[in-house]
Amino acid sequence: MPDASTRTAPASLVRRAQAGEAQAVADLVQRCARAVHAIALAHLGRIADAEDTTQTVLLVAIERLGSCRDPDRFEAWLFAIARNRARRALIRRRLRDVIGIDGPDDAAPGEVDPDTRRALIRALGALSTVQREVVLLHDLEGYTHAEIAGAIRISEEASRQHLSRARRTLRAQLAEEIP
Amino acid sequence: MNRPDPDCPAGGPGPVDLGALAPRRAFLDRLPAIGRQAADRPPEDPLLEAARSFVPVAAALAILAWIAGGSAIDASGAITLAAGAPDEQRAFVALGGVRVGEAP
Repeated sequence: MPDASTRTAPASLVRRAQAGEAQAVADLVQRCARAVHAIALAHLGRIADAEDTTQTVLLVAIERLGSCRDPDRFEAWLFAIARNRARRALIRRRLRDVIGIDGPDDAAPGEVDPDTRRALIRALGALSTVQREVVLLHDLEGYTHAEIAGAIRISEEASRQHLSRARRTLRAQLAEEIP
Repeated sequence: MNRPDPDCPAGGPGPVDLGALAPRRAFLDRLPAIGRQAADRPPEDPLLEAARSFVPVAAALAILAWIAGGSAIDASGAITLAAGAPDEQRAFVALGGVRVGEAP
């Protein structure tokens, strides 16, 4: 799980990137990629698709960085782009195939247990999109409820409730898969 | 699997290990290159940015005029305009009975 000091983007870094400082742009990409990936995965349910969309989102966001008027709310701005691009990618994919969230496994050989990954992907499919966003940001990326609330524009209480329900559902789903 | 979570109330369900869903190593290794690619991209032209905010309004007006039977309205032009609009606004254009292609 990423360290709290490196996973979010401070406003000063955003401002330096907006000023065109190449190193700041690179640092921004590095810091935000995992969280964008979590948002994309919450919508797309496939690791490879989430990676493709993450790359697109990062490039589009950097290109349009000038339109982020409030660097203190950079993540909310970035995640809005991520959601929009993920939805577009989902529409394109639905046109392309009808496999859906329970698609083929795309894990790199030897990296993780493919059965575990498949089971988790299937279990995530039982959650709502916002529950997937919250549980992935919190339990995978280490975001606090306060950070999630600011980034996806829900209250901290709503974030807690979504997390609690998501975990309960995931446990139930996984218990069915692995009795 | 059941470690205590200081960010959640006592008695709530503990976290499920989601580590298998983390980005793949190959993707993380690509990030510096993506960062360089992003840094090398010129920032978007402010004029284009301003034009983008005008596009949904122009498209909506064109479609409304087209629905009203205006023969001088070029619907395909409106579609082209709308194709640059965000999803929410394209949905509005679709309400006018016009299929809009995927935005570039």
